[in-house]
Amino acid sequence: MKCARLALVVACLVGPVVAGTPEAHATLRRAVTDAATTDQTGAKEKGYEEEVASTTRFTGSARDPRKVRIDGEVRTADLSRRPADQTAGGPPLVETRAFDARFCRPGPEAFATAYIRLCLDPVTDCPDSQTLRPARESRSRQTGNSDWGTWQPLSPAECVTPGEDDLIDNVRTTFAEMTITPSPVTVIDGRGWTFVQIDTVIYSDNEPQTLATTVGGTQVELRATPVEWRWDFGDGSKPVTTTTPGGPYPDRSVSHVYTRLGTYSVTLTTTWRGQWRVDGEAEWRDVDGQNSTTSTSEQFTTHEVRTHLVKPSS
Amino acid sequence: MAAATASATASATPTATAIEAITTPPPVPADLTTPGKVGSKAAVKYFVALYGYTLNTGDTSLIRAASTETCTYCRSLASDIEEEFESGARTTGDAATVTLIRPHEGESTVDSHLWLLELAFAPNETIAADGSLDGRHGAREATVGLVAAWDEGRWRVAEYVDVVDSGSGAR
Repeated sequence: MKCARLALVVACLVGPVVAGTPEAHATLRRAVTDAATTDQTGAKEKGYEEEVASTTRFTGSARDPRKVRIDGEVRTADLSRRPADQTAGGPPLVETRAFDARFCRPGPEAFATAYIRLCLDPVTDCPDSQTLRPARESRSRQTGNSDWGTWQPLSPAECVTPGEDDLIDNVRTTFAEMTITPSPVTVIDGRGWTFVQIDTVIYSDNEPQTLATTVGGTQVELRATPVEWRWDFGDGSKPVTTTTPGGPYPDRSVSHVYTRLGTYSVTLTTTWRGQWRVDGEAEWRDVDGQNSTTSTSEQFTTHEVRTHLVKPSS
Repeated sequence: MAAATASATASATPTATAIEAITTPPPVPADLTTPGKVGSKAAVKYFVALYGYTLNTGDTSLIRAASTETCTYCRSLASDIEEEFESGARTTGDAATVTLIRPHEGESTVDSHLWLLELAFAPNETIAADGSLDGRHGAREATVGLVAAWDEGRWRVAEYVDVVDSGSGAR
């Protein structure tokens, strides 16, 4: 570690003392960043003695906490779930790069069929209001130890308009393609049978689902909220659409009377409203468009209530 | 927590602006009872927002309510602050704000989400019981992890997690 700058001197002095703890490690990483900033702005302008390696009570009250290791800074780390056989921080299985425009010049490689789309009339100039998004190609491999496959075209060069309109369009597309877990469908609390000629209570839930993702380079959060439920009771009757998910008995807001003995299942089509916000924003904004999911209940049977006259015992 | 070191005080600028005490608790988010990540994220951000208020007022009731009974870190944080007040010392400032919050899907379950946060802390100063300046710190940042868990009908903070960059040590 170089200690040429004032703030870094402090970090360097305390480094050997605190470097043994992960918290201190993170603090020191931050200290280096702070030092670079401080060097430009002047540490004393803040009016405080720079004690970059000191901690706040917020972190200082943590005693022997669990540790989570990430590869890189939180801002850039891939924090998504990984398949069980792929460890965090393992070698990448897919990589992409900006496509080398020289590849399209006359020469043997220029005739690779897969690249015709990228090489044919490539976009090279954009209006002032737009920026050029270069063509990209990608390659993959089966495991971290196997050889890379050949580069394949991924996307052509195009002019894009930076700004919110672009982002909103991308959000709309992302929401339409968002994988939503279908709503649950429960019939008579899942006991597997019901009676004919009486109300059979059916319900789902209205739990929203969220997705944190990156859209066009911007970290956004998407929220899908169910707003409409279409119930097909599976007995040939006309499906019913409700604006509530129903609930367990005694809630009868969604119920159906089966009239025949048999085995049925209920098919639910849920309409989801989308909302989104840029990471850090408090307010949600509506997504123009909807998403839908379909789910089916467990099969259940219908039974008849038979009354018997019983002779009282004497 | 130990007071700030006393090195190089002569170079400190005497024109430091006064640090105002935080006396108003943050509003309770409506999403604390919202299922899913919307609710758990709100709980974590609320907890962070409560930190400055708690540190400045010694009122630990809200931060205790915003955390689970089993959160040893949360209990320690609250008791540390209570001890400071009992000693007669007072801290002003140190409000924490979230500059980045991301879910760590790899260590989250349906009813427990790990959120990784980059926090910015406002300047603070601590006055000892005898009225002397015990410590003064400039703005700082920290990267931490907080786990929010569904607990008794709402989301609460359940654990503090150290965030360690696994790559920097090997590089």
